[in-house]
Amino acid sequence: MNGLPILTLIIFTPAVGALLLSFVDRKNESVMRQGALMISLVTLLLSLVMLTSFDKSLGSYQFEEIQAWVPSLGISYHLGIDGISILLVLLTTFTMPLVFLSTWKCVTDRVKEFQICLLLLQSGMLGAFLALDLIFFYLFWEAMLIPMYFIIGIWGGQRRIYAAIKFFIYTMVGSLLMFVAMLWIYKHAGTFDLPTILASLQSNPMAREEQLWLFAAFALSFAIKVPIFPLHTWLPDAHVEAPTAGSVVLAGVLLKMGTYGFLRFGMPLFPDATVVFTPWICWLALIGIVYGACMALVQNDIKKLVAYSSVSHLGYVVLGIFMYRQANGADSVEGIVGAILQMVNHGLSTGMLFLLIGIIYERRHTRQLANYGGIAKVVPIYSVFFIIATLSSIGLPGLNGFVGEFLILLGVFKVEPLYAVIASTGVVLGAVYMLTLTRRFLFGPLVHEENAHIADVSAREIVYLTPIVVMMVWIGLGSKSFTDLVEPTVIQYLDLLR
Amino acid sequence: MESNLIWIPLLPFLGFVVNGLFGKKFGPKFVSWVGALAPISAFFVAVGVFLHLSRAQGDGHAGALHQHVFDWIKVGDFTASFGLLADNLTSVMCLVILGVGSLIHLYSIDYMRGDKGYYRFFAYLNLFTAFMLLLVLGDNLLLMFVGWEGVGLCSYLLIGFWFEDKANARAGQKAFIVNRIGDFGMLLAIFLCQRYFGTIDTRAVGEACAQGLGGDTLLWGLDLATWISLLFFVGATGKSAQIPLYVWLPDAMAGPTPVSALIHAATMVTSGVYLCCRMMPVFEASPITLNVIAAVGACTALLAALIALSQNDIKKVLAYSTVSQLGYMFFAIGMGAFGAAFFHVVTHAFFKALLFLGSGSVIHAMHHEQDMRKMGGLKKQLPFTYVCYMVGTLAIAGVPLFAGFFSKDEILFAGFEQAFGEHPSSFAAVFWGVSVLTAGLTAFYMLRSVAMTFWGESRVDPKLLPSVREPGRWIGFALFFLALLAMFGGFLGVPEFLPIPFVADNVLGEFTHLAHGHGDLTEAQLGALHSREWISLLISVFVGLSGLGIAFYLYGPGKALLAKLVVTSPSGRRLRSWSENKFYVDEFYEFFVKGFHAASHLTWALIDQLLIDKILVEGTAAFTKGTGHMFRRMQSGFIPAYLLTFGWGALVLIIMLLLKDAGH
Repeated sequence: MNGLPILTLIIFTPAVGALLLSFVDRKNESVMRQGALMISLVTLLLSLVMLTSFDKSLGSYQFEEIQAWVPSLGISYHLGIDGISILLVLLTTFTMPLVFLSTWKCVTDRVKEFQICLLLLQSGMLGAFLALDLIFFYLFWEAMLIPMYFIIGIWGGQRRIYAAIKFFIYTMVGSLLMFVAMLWIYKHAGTFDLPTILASLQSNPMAREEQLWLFAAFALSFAIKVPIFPLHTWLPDAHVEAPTAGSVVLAGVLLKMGTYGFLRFGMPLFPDATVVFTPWICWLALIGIVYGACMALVQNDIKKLVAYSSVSHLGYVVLGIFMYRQANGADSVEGIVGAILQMVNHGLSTGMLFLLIGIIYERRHTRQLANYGGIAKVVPIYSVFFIIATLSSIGLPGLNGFVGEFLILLGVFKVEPLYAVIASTGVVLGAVYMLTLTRRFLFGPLVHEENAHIADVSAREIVYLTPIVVMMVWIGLGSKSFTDLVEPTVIQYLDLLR
Repeated sequence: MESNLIWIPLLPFLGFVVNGLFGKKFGPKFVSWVGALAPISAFFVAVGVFLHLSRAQGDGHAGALHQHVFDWIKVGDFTASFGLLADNLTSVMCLVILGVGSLIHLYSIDYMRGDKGYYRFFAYLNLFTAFMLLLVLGDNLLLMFVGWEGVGLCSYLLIGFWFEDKANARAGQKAFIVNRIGDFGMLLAIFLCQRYFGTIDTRAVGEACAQGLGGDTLLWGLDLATWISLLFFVGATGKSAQIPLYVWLPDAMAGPTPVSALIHAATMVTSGVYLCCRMMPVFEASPITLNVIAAVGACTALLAALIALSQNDIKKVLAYSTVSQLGYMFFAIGMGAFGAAFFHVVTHAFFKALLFLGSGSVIHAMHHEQDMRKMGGLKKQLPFTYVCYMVGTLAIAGVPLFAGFFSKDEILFAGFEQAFGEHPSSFAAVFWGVSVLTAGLTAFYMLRSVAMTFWGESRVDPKLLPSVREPGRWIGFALFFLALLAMFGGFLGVPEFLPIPFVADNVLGEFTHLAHGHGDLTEAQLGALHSREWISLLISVFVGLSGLGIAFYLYGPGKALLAKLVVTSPSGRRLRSWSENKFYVDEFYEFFVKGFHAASHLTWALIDQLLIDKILVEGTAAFTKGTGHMFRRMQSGFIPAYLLTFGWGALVLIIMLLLKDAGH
């Protein structure tokens, strides 16, 4: 990239933007809003520039940047991007402008702090996806936590303090253990640099016993983030209490940190332990798929329903990640590629659902299903968007969700047919709860007078919803151009796990 | 020619896009033009494809047209292209879909006139047509699956078209979910094909099975071909409404009547049968599957016919009749008579679309009244509709020379041949008997519906009666053409032993390569075969006419209808009540659905809320708090202080670990 530190630029543009915004007078709210949007658009642009020179035939890290930071401790500023992270980075830079646009009307309190929090959050997420040094990853991982804590705790709903603390403590518990495990790795390898560690593990592998404990520490942290059953109960609370923007970022990007962590760190660092833990994690994922779907079925709060659906959907991703090798030793690329694609798909569909819920909440200030019904007549365009998001979520062929789900199930079927059969029931259950939601929400007679005059989506709302729909169709029909970015890396990656 | 294939699904799809985006703005006239021209123009493309293929057939090199549009999914060794394949079978199916489809689009111009969602209706209808064509044209199973679920989506949207009514929205949802259950089977079948054959190309999978590659035992003593074909059939039971997944179709009548005619009679519901024909080698490789299909098909045919006997909603009669006729088609598949099954798909599309549109014409004239008990004597007001509906009835009843006669006879003969032919089978005999009985019932309930609707004294609300008259010209136009097809469509498949002048034998069967010729039979064998064919023919004609006769006797002119509505004997009454209540199958399913719901609720309360959240999570918190009570000084109630302690503790732990290790 002509010596341009493009990844650094991508990570720190939002943070620098936040710094700049902190000098703007807080009364100047529209400058604040437009400024934050512009910053996120610049970041998006930078990531697209990066994409144009990303060599998709390579499976290795690209645009690497290494700077020694604390040489005595083997900590370095090491960034790099490959097929595993590129889609997630793009997902993040794509989502954030939409999120900023969505907050223009609904966040009126402490606008300045809110925009700054979101920008810092974006830097944290991008950094976590791009860091190739354990300590650096850890720093970004924790750095994401703080703005999110404030977003829920300050701009959230009635039980926001409870939800924020629950979210914080859950995540903290996991990450502390992970930190301990990182130190242990340092003791073994003498560095925090991920590629160096992986190389040294080839010649000097860790003892099995050691691996098991360390993997467990990493896995707990990631499993809470995913979340994997039974560590999921922070999620419904966090979603319900978080403001729309918080929910969108949480569901759209943050949850993928867990599955990304497994892929980037947990599995390659501890290959033997991965094999031991795989059946356990897979069964928990399978339980999560069915359990999350059943829970979603009985929720009356729309946000809670979608939160539980995330538990179910992320179960697929976890399953796809871990079912990478067949009994005969052959790799199953489909599952892992599908899982990476599905992270993006879930981000799009669930992100869009939360945006839509936010739109209706702005107008009616309730998320209880019982307060709706029959509004399709009142808000037809809104309903079209909602139905599209629903269809994407339930994996209608032709839209994005199907491709990811199908590839995962296909990959899993090659490895462990029984798992695929069980997981496929989620496809049926997904249709049950999402269509029940749609029916109770949009269809039927208009029973509540208050709903008779809800305004349909505004031009601004159409502007931020339409790109998501475009992406849904694009991935649904042109999935090859997305999976091509991922596949070479995954092929190389699977060799690493031998 | 190759590059034209994409236009067949693309034109209706463009219709959907245009009407969906601009229909509301440009008004109904614009919508009608776009909506109707989309399938009509695609029809002409399909005709071109058909002519091309039949010319090739005439030249002796029967082939197929193939168009690779783009790579859709390609990961690892899995490939699914967006490729279209038109062989003879497909081209005929396209003609049926677009031919009948265009007529129904035209019909809808009158039928839906004045509806608030006029543009929405045509957009959906176009979208449906596009997906249906994708389903039949897809060159691999996954692309077919796109169409397969896509038509399900449109069905969902159109059943719930008048979504302000709760029942309609529910019916749409039921249809989608029941179909999803079937699709679960489809997906697994696709996984199996990819895992064991390494391809999902329809032709390649067929060839693999034809070469006997599906013979390895897979699970529970069943071989691969059996599993794949059974799972395909699970998918087919959903889409084509067979036991146990038929329950959505009768509810689907909540949609506007043109929808019932197009989607729930002529095209979408036959896609299960189409799938069987398309994947014929897979099914032929598994006798077990064929037996299952025969049994399910015959039982569905009978059950649905029994329910149809006592329905009073004119559309419900036709809905159960459709389920029953689909059962017939599957019975034919089970008997190995794929050609007969497909023939019935075609003729059924003609006469059932005619019947539905006829009923729609009645319903339209009656201001959305569907209860036949409130009709009667309508042949005075609606003479043209009456004649068309009568043609449809005669066709479905199997009256000689009408369309249904030939196809139904071919199916019954296939059963007869298996049951009493050269290798008699009692299994086949039982289900042949069931099918013959069903043929009689079919004739009966159809004439009953004619009688209740058009004959006898008028039971129409007198206030309504003066305004009851024949609906618009497009409705008449569509009915007229479909009536012609229902009268003469059967000549596509005239059996060899019936000497009908000017008509070639078995045109359709030979063109689609689904019928097995009997060229290698000796003169004597052929003679015996012909005599069996005559016997079977006479039986089916006799049974059909008896059904009509009994219905005529019970409901015919001069009889007081309502007296007949009560069957006097107790057992008769019981049967009647079971039939009226659809054998309580819906209630039975409902029981499970409710149970599942309740169980989910309980799990949520017990595990999520109580066990995990209250006991484990908050319990831990309370424990910490309790411990804090002991160390009173440390209990400041200030969260960051807790976290700080927590962090320090962890740090101490880490240092201890490092020191311990350093000591080694």
